[in-house]
Amino acid sequence: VRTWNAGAERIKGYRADEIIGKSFSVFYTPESNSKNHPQRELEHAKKFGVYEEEGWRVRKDGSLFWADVVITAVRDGNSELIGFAKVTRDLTERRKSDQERDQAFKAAETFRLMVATVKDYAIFMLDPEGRVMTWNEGAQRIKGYSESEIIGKHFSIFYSDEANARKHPQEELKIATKEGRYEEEGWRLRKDGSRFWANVVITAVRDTETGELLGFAKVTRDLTERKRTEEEREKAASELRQLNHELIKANSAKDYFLANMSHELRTPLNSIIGFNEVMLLGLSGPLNDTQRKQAQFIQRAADHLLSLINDILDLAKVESGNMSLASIELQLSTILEDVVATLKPLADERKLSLELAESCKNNSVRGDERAVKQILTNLISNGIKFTDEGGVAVSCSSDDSHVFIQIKDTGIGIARTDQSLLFKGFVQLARAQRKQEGTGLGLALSKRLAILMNGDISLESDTGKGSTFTLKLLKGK
Amino acid sequence: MAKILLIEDNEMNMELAKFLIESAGHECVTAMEGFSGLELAKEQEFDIVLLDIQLPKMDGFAVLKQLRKVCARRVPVIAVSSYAMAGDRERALSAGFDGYITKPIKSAKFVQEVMATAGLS
Repeated sequence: VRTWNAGAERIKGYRADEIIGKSFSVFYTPESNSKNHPQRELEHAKKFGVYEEEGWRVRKDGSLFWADVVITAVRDGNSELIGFAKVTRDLTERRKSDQERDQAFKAAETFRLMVATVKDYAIFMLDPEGRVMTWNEGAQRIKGYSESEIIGKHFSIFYSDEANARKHPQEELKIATKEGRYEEEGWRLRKDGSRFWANVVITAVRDTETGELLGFAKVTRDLTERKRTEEEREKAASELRQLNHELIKANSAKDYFLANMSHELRTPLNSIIGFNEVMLLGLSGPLNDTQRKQAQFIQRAADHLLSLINDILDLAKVESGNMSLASIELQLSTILEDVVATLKPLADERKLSLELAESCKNNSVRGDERAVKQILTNLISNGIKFTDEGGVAVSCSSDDSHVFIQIKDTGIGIARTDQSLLFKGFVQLARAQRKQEGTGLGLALSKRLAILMNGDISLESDTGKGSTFTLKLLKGK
Repeated sequence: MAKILLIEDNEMNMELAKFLIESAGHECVTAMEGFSGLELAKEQEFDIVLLDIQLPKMDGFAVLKQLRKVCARRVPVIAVSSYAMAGDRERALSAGFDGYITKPIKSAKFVQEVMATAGLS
């Protein structure tokens, strides 16, 4: 170094007195020096007149700077080399911004690649007019268009004719422009014309400095599966509602039918039973013994028919859930005395005893009077019908919550295998072999009525050992 | 002796009730539907009206309403009906019938029951 200027001092850090006389190799990195790079520069300049490069140089404090270096060979009038002129510019700042730009470009490229390869979402840009500017794999997968097919096309192509007719795509952009964002779910069209249920988010993209609208980012998800599941669920729910509605209708039709059936069956029975009784009463003249006996058969058959009608209608009503029973305080002994008094003639006729134990006095239960009476009449009359010798005894007991009424007979008993059939109602009608008159529905009906009153009926019996039916009812106060 | 208006559309059931009423020594005037029954009630005075619920054209409830309007006196009106399901009796009584007898009727006690319900026994 022969001369030194202020610029050199500012860039490289050496004062003139420090550097004059030193080799310019101090400005080079050890790596450059080990390759004799400074010497080669000079040789190059000597040979070609000038050497120029950009490269790292070392300041006095050891820090590096990016230098633009021009070395020019200086010759005298005789073309004799007398030295080198070296002009160095510090390009570190420029280099830094170049690197930053590269990095930003790389980041943008990485982001672009990431967006481009996303498969589950269609992510693309629209220009301010709504034409497709970019396209990704997800968009291709969901909408079916390849990038080359779609770039430059207006995004209304994804909408149905109906949506386009009411300018829905334009409306979406209008809202996104105004609000910054628009989101909706709706049907969109694929390239092949098929529909898919889309979740769409459109975001207005603006220049961060000027606020100028650059276009729109559109993210679309295909939610067809979810929509289908929802629709199926809704369809199932709607079918269920319809079915329910029909059931209610059918049920009320059934109720109407039952009420009419009961009415229609009773109307002719009224004449049969009534006129037969008129004859038995002798109101239209005396009957001879044979006529009287035959009229009594008519009466028995008609009474049986009437009880069949009553039981069938009651059971149908209970089973359709339309029997509503009261739950009131009832004096059990009053009801039992009433029922026993009614059935005593039947027991007397069959020469059987019918006893009501003292334990039944002062018991009150909660339930429906008619139902309790119906159950007790059924259980006690069954006992009488199926007993040939001995009789029927009614006794009562109770615990904290229930009253138990036991109806014990000395009759033929019920085989264990038949016991489960006994309460089954219509099923039992066909299967049981009954010698006695009865509907076969009485026990089934009684059990259901008892359960409706939060009670029950249980049975203890065996062939030849008689039967004990226990009616359990809620205890009164 | 009581004078009874019987409105009943079933011929055999009408004959039965009429026979029982007359056998007991009372007078029985009959109509097979509501309109002619109401005409009779306007023209004559009755001690008791026996009224079926299911009738052609106008049912027992409607006939009862009209009866209350056309009869100067508040005549006892008793429903005699084949409707025997739970709630039928209560519905009739709350509609203003003075009694409710279900079919099939008991021939031996029918007239007695009618008189007792009407407060004439």
